[in-house]
Amino acid sequence: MKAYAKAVWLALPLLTLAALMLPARLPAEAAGAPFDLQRALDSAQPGAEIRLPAGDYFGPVVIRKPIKLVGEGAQLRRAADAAADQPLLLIEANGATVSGLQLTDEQLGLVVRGDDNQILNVAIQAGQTALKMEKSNCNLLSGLKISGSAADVEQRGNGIEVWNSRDNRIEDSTLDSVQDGVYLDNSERTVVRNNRISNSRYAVHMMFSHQSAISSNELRRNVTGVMVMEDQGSKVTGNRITEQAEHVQSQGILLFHVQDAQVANNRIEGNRVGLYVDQAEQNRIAGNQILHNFLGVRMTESRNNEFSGNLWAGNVVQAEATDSEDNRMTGNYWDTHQGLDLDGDGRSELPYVASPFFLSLTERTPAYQLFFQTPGLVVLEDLFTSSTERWLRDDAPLLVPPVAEPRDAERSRTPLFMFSSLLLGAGIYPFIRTIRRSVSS
Amino acid sequence: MKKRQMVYAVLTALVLSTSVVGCGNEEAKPVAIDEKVDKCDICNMTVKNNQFAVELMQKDGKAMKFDDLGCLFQWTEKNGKDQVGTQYVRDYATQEWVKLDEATYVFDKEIATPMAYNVISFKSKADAEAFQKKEGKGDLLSYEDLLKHTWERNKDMMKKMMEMSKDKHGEGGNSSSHSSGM
Repeated sequence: MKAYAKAVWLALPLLTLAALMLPARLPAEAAGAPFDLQRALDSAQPGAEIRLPAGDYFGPVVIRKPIKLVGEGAQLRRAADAAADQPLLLIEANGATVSGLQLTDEQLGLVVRGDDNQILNVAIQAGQTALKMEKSNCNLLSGLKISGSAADVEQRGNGIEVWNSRDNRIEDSTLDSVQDGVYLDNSERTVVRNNRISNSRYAVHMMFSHQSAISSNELRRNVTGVMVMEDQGSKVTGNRITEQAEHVQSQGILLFHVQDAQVANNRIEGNRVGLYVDQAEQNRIAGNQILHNFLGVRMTESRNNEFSGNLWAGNVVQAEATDSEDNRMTGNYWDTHQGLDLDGDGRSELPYVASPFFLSLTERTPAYQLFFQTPGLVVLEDLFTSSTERWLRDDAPLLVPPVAEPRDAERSRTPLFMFSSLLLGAGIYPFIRTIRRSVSS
Repeated sequence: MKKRQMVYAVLTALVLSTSVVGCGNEEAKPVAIDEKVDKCDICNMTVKNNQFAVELMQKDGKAMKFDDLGCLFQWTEKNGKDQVGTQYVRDYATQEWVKLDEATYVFDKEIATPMAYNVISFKSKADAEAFQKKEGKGDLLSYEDLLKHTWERNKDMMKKMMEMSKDKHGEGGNSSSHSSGM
């Protein structure tokens, strides 16, 4: 017994010393009392790094200095007695970094007000908006994992909202089951790149956010993939926009009152409407693959848009336009077109013409969609061909599909080649064995 | 117009009755907003069941729904008022339906509405004035003023944005009170 007591007396100061020597690694709970994260943040010097080991931490907390908060599997929650109107984590600083945290909250998750901050590899699950940025410039959001709730899509919070900001980047993130994945309002030159957004209302929703770039994203099973509204000079390029088809308003891309946009090299596949262009002018739509949509492209009240090098294949209706004139359409490939190339330039001398009949009929009374492809309607469609000069037409459609991006082709062919060689080898092997055996015996 | 003739011809050809149950002299009541289905006829956005939703009842009984009062005025500008029956807006506080010509309106560039037309509606003039006083901003508009209002999709804001874009780190924006439910 005495020996035990002695050991305890010896160990105590040692333990105390050890605890004092490890100030950088903060324990989740010290001696039963919850660790005060806010105090640690406030007492840190600018430029300091605070590491949070795995465990539960409680907010709301505010970062007011350019510090580095590094979570190592740490989870931040709202304290039971905390006010509900503050965001769980608020960054009011320039040049701060937050990484490796898990934020779980029923209210507003993370708010950024400041410039040059980095939010990296943070997972957020919030009842309201997961991440909101206001009047903030040049921030980087990367590797985020945002998941919403199972509630009706109209009742969920948005994933990332950006208001009145400039030059922010949202990259390599995954968003699922939120209302709008990324909502940009009055936020110019925002880059949204290489994200995966699914099962939400509008995957990317832009209002007055000119010259932004939406590129290389994978947008799947949302009400709308990219909703570009009231915009000038934005780019939507190299995205995979697939399966926006489950909702009555579903569409791949909507351009509403948009000018000088570039929609290029996207794969728009299996949507209710692939691309909807409404009241939009001077946009360039080029090199897209518009595949297996119910309606490939729909255009209303739009002028001076240019369509070239696009591929239309397997759509139930390829394209329809009403009240849209002076659009230049040339050198696209239409799989339903029976062309004729007389001078050998690869382009048909017979134009491709799309009848707007069905669209104008169903615009006023959507229920008439029931009569799609019924014999009577086909006859009527053929009857109303008097003013085809106002229809959507491609004056020189391609006879073969435009060549796909070489980079994509290479990437997809190498593994295919290896796989086929392997299969071939495996197929031949028994024969070789049999031949060998018969030769040796 | 060819298109219209076309549509009428087809209507006859399909022998569809477009009979609408007549309601005598009673004016059409506002109908419920279904967020799952309703789409603004002008801007293509989902019509949310909130204080910004407005309705236009056509004389043939068809209800048009818009997510922003500005979109409703765009529609009447485009389609004329021949078919327009009763129009409804919502009280900003209670979301109660109020007739367009009986409501009072507040316009301010800093009031965020779904399509940035920045006009909100109130059942009574007193409520509108109270809002104006509380927020310390906004122009009061009567129904007559509203008809004269120039509906611009926040062109000023757009212009300002373009100017600001020249300065890379320009302090952003002019809108401070937002509703996140857009």
